[in-house]
Amino acid sequence: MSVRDSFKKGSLEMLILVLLQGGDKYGYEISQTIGDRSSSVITMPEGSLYPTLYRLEKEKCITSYKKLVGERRTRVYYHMEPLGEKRLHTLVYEYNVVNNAIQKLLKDFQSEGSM
Amino acid sequence: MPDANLHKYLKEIKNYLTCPEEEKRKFLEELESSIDEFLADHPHATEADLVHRFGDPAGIAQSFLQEEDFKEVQEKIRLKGRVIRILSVAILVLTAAAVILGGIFVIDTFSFNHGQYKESIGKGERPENSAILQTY
Repeated sequence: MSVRDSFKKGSLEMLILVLLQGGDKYGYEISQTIGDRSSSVITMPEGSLYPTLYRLEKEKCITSYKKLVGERRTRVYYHMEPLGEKRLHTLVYEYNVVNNAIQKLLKDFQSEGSM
Repeated sequence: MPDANLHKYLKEIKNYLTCPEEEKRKFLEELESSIDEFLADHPHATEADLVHRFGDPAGIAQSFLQEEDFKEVQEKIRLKGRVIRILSVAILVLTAAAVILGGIFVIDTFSFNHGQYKESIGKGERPENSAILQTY
């Protein structure tokens, strides 16, 4: 797995919850929105979302429901729950803490590099 | 043949999933719904198209197993192993008991005739020592 891929995996839960905070979405919609809003920097096949969606549902952070699309087809939509909101705040906080720490380390690295 | 591709793709993922059947079923149900929709919009899609859109089956299964809590997975595997061991021992004991009892039954029936010895005396037969009888 590339370095970028491992970063993506680590933030997937947070990205899914951020998008669901904006409204109910289905799997493909989540996958497309992540790609569009990140200017294609973060792209992931739709199938890779489902394990995380499944786990979030088990942990009651989100719920799913089927909606009729067209005449006979149904689509699974995901909805954010209060526990998911709480989880999102924790994840964003932790992300900022870690990100700031990494930025400090990188600053030192860049300073040494410029010498 | 969209259905054939769908089933083949899902079967591949299922083969890689080493978890209880109930978990597999629930997980694949949601994925199947999305794949179904994709194939309805793209009836000529091939398996390669499915992989491009949804990802590699092995990768999806691996992501799913990684998402499961490691302790939970270990516990499930341990419990499953324990149940299998208990069932195996029970079947072994029952089979051994059936063989032993069956053997006793066969030996008893064909060798000893249930411990009975049959005697028969023919009617109207003269005793061997008829000369002695005639004297008196």
